[in-house]
Amino acid sequence: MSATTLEKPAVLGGCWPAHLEAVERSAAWKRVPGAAELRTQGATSFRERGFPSTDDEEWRYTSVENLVKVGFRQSLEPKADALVANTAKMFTFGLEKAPRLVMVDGFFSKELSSLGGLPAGVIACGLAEAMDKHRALVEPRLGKFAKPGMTAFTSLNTALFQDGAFVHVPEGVVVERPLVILHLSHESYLASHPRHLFVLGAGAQISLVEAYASPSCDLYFTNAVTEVDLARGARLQSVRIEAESGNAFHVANTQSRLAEGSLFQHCAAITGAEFFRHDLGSLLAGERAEAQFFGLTIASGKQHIDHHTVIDHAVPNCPSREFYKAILNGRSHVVFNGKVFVREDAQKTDAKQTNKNLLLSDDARVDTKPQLEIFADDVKCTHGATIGPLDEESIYYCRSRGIAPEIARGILTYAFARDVLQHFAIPEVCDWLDKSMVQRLLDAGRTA
Amino acid sequence: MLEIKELHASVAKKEILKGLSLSVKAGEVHAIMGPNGSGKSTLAQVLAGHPSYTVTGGTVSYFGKDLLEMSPEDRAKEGIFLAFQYPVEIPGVSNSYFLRAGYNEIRKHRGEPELDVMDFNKLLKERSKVLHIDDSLLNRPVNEGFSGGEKKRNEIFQLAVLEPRLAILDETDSGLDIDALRTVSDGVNKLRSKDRAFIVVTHYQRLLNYIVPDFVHVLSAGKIVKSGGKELALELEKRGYDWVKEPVAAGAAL
Amino acid sequence: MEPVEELATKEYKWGFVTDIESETIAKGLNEDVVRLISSKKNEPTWLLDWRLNAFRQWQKLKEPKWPNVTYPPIDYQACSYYSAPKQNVKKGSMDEIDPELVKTYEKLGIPLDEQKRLSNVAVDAVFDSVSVATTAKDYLEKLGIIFCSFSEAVQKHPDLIRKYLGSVVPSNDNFFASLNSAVFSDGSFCWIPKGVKCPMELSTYFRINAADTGQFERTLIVAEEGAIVSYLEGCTAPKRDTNQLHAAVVELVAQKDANIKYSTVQNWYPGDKEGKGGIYNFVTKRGRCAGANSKISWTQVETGSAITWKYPSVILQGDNSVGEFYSVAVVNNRQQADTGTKMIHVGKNTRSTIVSKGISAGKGQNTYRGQVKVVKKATGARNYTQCDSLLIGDRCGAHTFPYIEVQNSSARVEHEASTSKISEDQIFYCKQRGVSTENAINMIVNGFCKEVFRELPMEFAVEAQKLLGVSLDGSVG
Repeated sequence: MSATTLEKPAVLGGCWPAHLEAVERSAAWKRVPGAAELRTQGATSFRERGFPSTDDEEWRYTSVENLVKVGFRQSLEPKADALVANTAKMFTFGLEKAPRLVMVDGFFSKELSSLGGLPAGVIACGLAEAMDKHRALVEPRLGKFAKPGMTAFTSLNTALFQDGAFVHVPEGVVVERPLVILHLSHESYLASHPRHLFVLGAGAQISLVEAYASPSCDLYFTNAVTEVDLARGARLQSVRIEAESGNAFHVANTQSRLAEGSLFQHCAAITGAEFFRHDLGSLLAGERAEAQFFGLTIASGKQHIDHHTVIDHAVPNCPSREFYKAILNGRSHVVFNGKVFVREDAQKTDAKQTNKNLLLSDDARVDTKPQLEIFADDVKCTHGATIGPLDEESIYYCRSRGIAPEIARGILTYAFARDVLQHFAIPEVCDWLDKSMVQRLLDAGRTA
Repeated sequence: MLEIKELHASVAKKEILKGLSLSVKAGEVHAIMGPNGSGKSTLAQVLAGHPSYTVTGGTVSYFGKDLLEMSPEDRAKEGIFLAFQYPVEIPGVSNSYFLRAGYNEIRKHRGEPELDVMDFNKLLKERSKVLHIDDSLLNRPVNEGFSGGEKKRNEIFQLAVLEPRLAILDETDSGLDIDALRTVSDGVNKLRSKDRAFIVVTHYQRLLNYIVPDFVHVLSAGKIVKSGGKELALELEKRGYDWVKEPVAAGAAL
Repeated sequence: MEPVEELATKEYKWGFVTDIESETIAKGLNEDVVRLISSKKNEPTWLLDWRLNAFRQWQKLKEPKWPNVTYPPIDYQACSYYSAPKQNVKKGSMDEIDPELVKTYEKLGIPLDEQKRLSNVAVDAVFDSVSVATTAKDYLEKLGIIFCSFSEAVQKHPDLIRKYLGSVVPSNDNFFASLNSAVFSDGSFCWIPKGVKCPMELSTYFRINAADTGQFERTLIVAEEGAIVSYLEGCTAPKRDTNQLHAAVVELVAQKDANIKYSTVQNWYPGDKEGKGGIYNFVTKRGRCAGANSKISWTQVETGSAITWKYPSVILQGDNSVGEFYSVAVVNNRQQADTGTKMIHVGKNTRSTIVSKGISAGKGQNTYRGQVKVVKKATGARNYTQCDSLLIGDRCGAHTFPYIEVQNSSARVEHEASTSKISEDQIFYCKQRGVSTENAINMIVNGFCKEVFRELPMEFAVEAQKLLGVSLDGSVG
């Protein structure tokens, strides 16, 4: 913590002290004794430090001022609503028949979830339920990867979360069909703090869709924290879909620990939310563990989209890949901050990071900070970042084959997005994203 | 079909073509040879309409129309095809998607109905078989990760699909081993017809063993300095470019 | 690779002390010290006011904590801010300079004698706080070029100094620049008139000699419309086991069509193997491409100093202006460097190139930190950045922190970074062909730095290559 934040009074925002007090008095606080301690740490850390300012290096390009200004409401009880059932059905992401775990405004909903067809031994339920029934699995992990004081938002989530998704795939079990984890935001001006924990035993495999959506154009705040623990040889492939309302604030923190030979693939497709900030981290704790992060952002209007990634190579012989692309329209602002640590003795690390940005509007802005911190010598680490318009040579090549320039622009913009989308896991979700999000870009040239 | 008169063109304010004239009729194959820097590739790019090249003088008429007035895509629709020396890579766009976009534009221009995905893929399969091209190439992104040979073969494949009236091959032989060279030239030979003309730009005579030209022109310092039949290429092979360059250079020097 | 480890550590051969009587003011820093320095230089009131203003700003500023370097807190009251050889009055001819000083510079390879001086290079020799000699002055004067010590310029060309001092690096720019603005003692001033191409390399050689003093020099180079100049600086200091502070400011101004090339070979004493002693090199260097089609090019070879903190930058204000930064930074033993550049694109069609080569050995920590900013109106801006790290040994670090900020859709910015090591296979291959380990490493390192070295003026390039070899001695395992 820097000296400056200590000297200035912590910025706590109008509503948050009250939210903390309310939840401290509620039953949720004491549900699991271990969790109460965690919540206290989160609350204390937030009260001491408050929200970050742009003086904070990690928030240099992302101001939380607009978020802090809003007086959000909190919900301490799940709400049953017939309307919600219908909206939940709208969001299938190309996986109509897949098992689903649905949350509404931060609470797990048994009625809306359909968890049949999962292999024996696999647990998929609400986190609150898991804290009660599967304490031995939850307690040693909760708050261990995304630690309570890690960011102001993680502190808040730790203190305030009510529920979330818990998935456990036991050792050796391979789940063939993808599991959809859908978080629906249904009430305006509500702040929800979904908390997820995914635990995979040795050699276990599963694909997840972690989606955040809203049928409305409401202003609300989703503050999600996801923790992932992968045992030896486990494989988790996940696609994160941000289909939040265009006026929503979405802040997320995903932290993962990867044991020997495990794989964590995280693919993020971002269109929704006016304000989006995601901290995504992997600790490569065992040899030959592999992290793959892919990201596609299509931003427009006044959207602010910020990807912060950290891949920590703590041991030798681990590969990591990061490939993030953004297409910017309107007055949008996209931030990429990718950090790769190679710790002492993490020899034979192979880390590659690529960030490419296509600026389609003069009012848009890109800030990118690809960073390498290397403390071992026998490593292969590269990063590359580009920002610019479409390539004129490529447009000419298309034209020489009879394609009009505006159509060529559309094709090339689409291609720019496809280039990263093709790496995404779960083919059905890829197709869905292609149809719902990416194909629109084909028209980009005509309107530009 | 093509009438080039006294063409002057420059790139980055440097004049490359300095009064080039050439006449091409349907069914003919013209080889343009010349040393490095003589302006061969410039000619190819100017005919295709590359925006970096500025025409500073002369005329080019194509089927009676002023070619220089036309945009690159209109030239393509009118049947001009350039097989690039260095084709660009377009990650994310599959070859088949790319080609269909171009193909349908050309069909529309001719007043023919567009082909749907099914019919077009059938056409692609057909053409790829004729040219012995692996159809896995069709679903890969345009030129991305292609070897030098694959890129050149892909250019010829596009030629076969788009069926131009005038095909310009810009150093299609460069960087090819003998087998790839044979595949590429076989492809070109299959596509020769009485309605289609070729301009084959090359540095070496080698390619002309496989694609036998009707005419050979030698380009030097932005002009055609010698024209003849296919035997001219053999003569050049024997005597080198200095043989044709000399009279011009001598005149220019003192 | 055992044999590589065995390379003997060569001495820092510039580490000798000149025995000369100096006048050093008492340790400590306050307004009186600022006044004293100003009065010693017989400065006009406006300059004293400027210094005092800077000093007050400095008191409000905080020492930057963001650089990726660690060092114990500096006691700014424990060092002296002015030290000059006793006989410091500038003499008309070289014969009158203290022979000890002439000897010192000769030993450093910089003959001050006009007859012996390096052909085609004019030298301003700065010893601790003052400039002791400037060569080739008369010749340059005939061309209208001003090349003299900063103090002399304040006396003889006050209008130019007043116009340009602080115009690129304001006195409140940052902690160290403010400190320098308050207490700077001497430095070099160059002014190239309109349309003149300076026929020789201008150079300043900085030497810290006195113990427990800081060096705070200030360099100002102005190239008027169409002027062309190439400037070099070199620096060394004796071996001492306490740390010494060097906080310089360099300002460059290039008017329309002007071209400034600034090359540095920085070889301050780096401290010993255990990290004892060495110079803290906290420097602010910035150029402003004020006019259209102007160009500023920085080339630096940083091998010395215990800690380096510097970011030679270019503000690309004029349309079509060009900024370049070529850097080799070497850290060995316990050295730390946090260095890079800022390219601020403001004018239309401005272009910048950044090539940074960081070499880390021993327990050294090397950080590249660079900012490329394209403001909204900077249509057609282009930047290409290449940032390569070479690691020698497994106890050193290489860090890359680029900041890329783009607000114009026609801008094209590309950044690439890579990391490599000298592999045992490479060394074996060289040895199998009869090349010694030492030469093999030299060869590989020089190859790695080639793109930067070729930007240096010839005489310097050779020096730089040798220097690199010496810096890395004993580093390879």
